[in-house]
Amino acid sequence: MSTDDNGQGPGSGKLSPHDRAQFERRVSELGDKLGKVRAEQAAEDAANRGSATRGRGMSYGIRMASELVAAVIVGGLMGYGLDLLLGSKPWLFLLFFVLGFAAGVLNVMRGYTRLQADISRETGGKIGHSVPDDED
Amino acid sequence: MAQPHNTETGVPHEAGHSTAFPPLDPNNFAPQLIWLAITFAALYTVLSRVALPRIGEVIEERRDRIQRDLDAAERLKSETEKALRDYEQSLADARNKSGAIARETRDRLAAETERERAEVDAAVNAKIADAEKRINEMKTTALSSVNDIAAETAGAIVGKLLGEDVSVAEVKKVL
Amino acid sequence: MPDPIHQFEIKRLVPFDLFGLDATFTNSSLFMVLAAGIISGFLIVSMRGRSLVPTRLQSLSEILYEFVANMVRDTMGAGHGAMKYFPLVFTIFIFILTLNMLGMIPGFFTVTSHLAVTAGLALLVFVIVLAVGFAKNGVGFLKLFVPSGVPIYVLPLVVMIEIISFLSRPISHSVRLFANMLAGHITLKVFAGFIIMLLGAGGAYGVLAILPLTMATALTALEFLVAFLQAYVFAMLTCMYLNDALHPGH
Repeated sequence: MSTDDNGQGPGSGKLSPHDRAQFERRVSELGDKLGKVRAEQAAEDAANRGSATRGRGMSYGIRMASELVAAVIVGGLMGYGLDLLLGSKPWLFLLFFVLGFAAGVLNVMRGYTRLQADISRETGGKIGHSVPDDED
Repeated sequence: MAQPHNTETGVPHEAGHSTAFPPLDPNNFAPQLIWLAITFAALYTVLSRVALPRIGEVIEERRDRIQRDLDAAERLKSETEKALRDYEQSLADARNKSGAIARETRDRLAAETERERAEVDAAVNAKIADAEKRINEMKTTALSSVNDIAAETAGAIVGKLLGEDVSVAEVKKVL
Repeated sequence: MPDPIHQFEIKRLVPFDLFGLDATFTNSSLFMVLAAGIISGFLIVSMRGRSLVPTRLQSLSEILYEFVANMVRDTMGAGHGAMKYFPLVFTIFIFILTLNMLGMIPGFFTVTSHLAVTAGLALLVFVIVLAVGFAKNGVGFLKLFVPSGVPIYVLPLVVMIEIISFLSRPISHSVRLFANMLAGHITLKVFAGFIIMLLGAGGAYGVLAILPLTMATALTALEFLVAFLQAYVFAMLTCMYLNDALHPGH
């Protein structure tokens, strides 16, 4: 009998198998919870980034459209003002109207290039995550 | 200066809206721009000095706190897992060790018992031998005394019968 | 039928003279002061608790903050150089948003439907962008107008085009907001006028009032969206212009 007591010595006063199972369950639950929180954070970040990209795209669109019109207006007004100043009626107005249109188209082209660069950077970043040897 | 100016601009407004479209009426530009400047500057000052830093602090603090808590939870989790692993290990160790101890103890006790038994055996044997020896001695003494007593008794009886003293040596000689 | 232009009327409340300039306190000024007061009051009062677990009001303030902060970060990068302009962008956004939303309340004045205000804001952004551009890149900022590799005989035209293109930004910036708010409010008023007119005509015409009523309801929803969207776009483009000035090479 005394040998059996010795055998239980180190174990007694610590954990019963039931307690230990409980502990293990709680640890794994904690792990699950932590994983969920991390995943939620990542999802939220991704959603934020996605909506930001959409918002920027929309802003680009509105910007391009309104700057196309605005450039024509600015060109026309400048030509009209110079005509009044120099007494060269309709010619400078016509010239600047055309220049304004060119500037508007330039605005749109620049905006488009910028938007494409943004998109490629955005998607490039996404691809970069899944392809390890791809550089940033 | 301002008074007559105001009434001047005010009247045509009342008179007809079609003459000057209010959102584009240059008479309205100065007051709007001035009050825009005043309110915007005031708002910018209040927001950049007081309101925004306060919000930023709280958000920053919360983000730090959440990150800290998450890190702490992660650390505690790994610590708990390690503790459980250690515990399993020590339990297994203990089980091995306790087996060994039990075996050893059993052996030791067995040897002890054996030795004690041998000692007791030896002691008992010695005592028996001693006792036998004493018995033997007592037997020889008893036997020799029996002779003496018999001679004495015989001498006394003979003396009574003969009416004269008979020495022990004489009795012995007779016997 | 109510005059759809009447709602844009400037009412001179308190005559006021500032160094010879007409600084009359008008209904427009009143609503600007009101907006500034509401914004400051709300942001400060809602954050009074500074609690880690926010109340409903506090989380609204925080959502606004994060919304603009993300806008600035995504457009201009997360560095300190970019976040320095965060208060400016936030003030522009919240000020325009509040003015737009106040304008949606019936009977209230819409400050942003006046060109002077939107032009003033656009001009502010324009001046800051110019200042940032010159401060960051010195005179080299002017190279923006003189693209390299252009033959000398078309250079004057190209420079003119570049100047027009550059000037089109503040114009489009101001006109876009102004025109959107103006057009939306006029349309709403016109449809409201139709409703009243048809109802006033009585009988079968009253039933017809359902048509403009439906339109007016849909338009009101759209106008709320526009009110938010225009504030957002104004702030977003401010970020983009600032970013262009900070990194002209890109």
